[in-house]
Amino acid sequence: MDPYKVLGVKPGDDPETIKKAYRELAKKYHPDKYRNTNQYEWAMEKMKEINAAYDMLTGKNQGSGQQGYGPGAGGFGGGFGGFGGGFHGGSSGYTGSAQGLYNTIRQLLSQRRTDEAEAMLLNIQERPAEWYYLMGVVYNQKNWHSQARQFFQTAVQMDPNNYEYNQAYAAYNNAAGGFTRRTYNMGGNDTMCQLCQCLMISSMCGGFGRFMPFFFCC
Amino acid sequence: MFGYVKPIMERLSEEEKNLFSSYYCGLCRAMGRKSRFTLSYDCAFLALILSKGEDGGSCAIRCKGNPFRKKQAAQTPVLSYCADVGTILSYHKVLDDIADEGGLRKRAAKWILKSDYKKAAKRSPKAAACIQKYTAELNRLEKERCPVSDMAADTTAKMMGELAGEEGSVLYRLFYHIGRWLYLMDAMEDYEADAERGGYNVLRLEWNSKEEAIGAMEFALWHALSVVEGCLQAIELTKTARGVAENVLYKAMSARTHLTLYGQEERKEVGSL
Repeated sequence: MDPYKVLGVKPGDDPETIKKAYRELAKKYHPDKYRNTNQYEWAMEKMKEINAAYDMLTGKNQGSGQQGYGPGAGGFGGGFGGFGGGFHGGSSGYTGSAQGLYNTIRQLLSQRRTDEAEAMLLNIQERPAEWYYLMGVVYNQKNWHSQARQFFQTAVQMDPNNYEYNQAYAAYNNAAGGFTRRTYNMGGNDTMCQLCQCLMISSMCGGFGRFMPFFFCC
Repeated sequence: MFGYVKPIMERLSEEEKNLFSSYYCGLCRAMGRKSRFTLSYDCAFLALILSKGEDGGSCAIRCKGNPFRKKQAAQTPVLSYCADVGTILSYHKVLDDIADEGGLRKRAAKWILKSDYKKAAKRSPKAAACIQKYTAELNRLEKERCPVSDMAADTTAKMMGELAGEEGSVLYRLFYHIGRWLYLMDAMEDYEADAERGGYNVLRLEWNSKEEAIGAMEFALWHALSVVEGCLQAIELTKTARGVAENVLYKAMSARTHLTLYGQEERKEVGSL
């Protein structure tokens, strides 16, 4: 493995540059962002590779038997919840109240300071419904809509009566469904109708409760 | 991937047809002689939107491809930019194809396009840098076998967005989501073909079955189009241009989405799909 290639740095780059590159990648491939999805293992593998590359370049952990999660792992209050791996370096971790943290994150999101909000979320150990909801908002701001919708869905599953989470999930479904209704209605005698020949799509959308494109065959 | 973002000509009004044609011809005119064969409707559409559909002082020219035809060709400054974008995109596509499959025809194409590509890159350095950056990023994700469709689509989407406008602007958002739709459409359409070829397909990696992929893309594609719809409503366009844009969205892109998700039959009456 070429650690320089993995981290996207050049031989001779100073430690600050390497650290910055590491952090960017760690944010991108953080496994918690892919919890409950098919990509969790892939993200874990990527994270291991990135951690190993960072350790090679910073001379940490030469042959201690661990998988590249060096002494820096303690820096964030024991690493990421559930993942148990190391996220090296950085500030002293979060010891304030969880709600205070979430309020700060919400403020960052309303200012569209998405990256900062994401970094804070990834440092939080606990993963309540609100964590999934706010991660969904992060994804939404980045236009990663499939991920966002999945995270909103998880938040709803964990806290089914929460109005805010339900609204967010519904907004996605309504946007998609609304569009299909408008576009099919416009069809009339047109291309769409010629294509569809009065298909009823009811059986199509198993998991999609909220939006079911159906045709009004002219 | 390219060539989907174009109107269904049979459904355009006379005025709309003339407007779009004038942009298409204007684009052709602005392109280098050797790269004209890569002319695409998508770039004509980009030019139309960036120019807000204004007439731009079109003038009559003789079609170089068919000297018996006289056409109206638009002449906005935007067209020169879009011609460059088209040339650069085509060049990178050829490079990709050479890396993937090689072949004499592709190498010949690269050799033919190279000088026009260099001129275009010099005239529009920002576009060239942007396209290079995101093409390289996408190649990297493919090598890593990235199984996150949002991540893979994000590269093409960001590229289109940046080519169209400043991050945060409506134009950026519009073309970001067109790019996202393009990438995901391509992946969905090539789901089977990529299996046979052994080529990278993010949906094959992300989902366990075609049914799951279709389910996921059903949301992603229609949602992307809904954002495109919203953005179109927010930008300034002449009435005729708006007609063209609505045709592209509600007739062309929607029909294509429908075909891919719900039925693979090619219907000739659908026109230029």
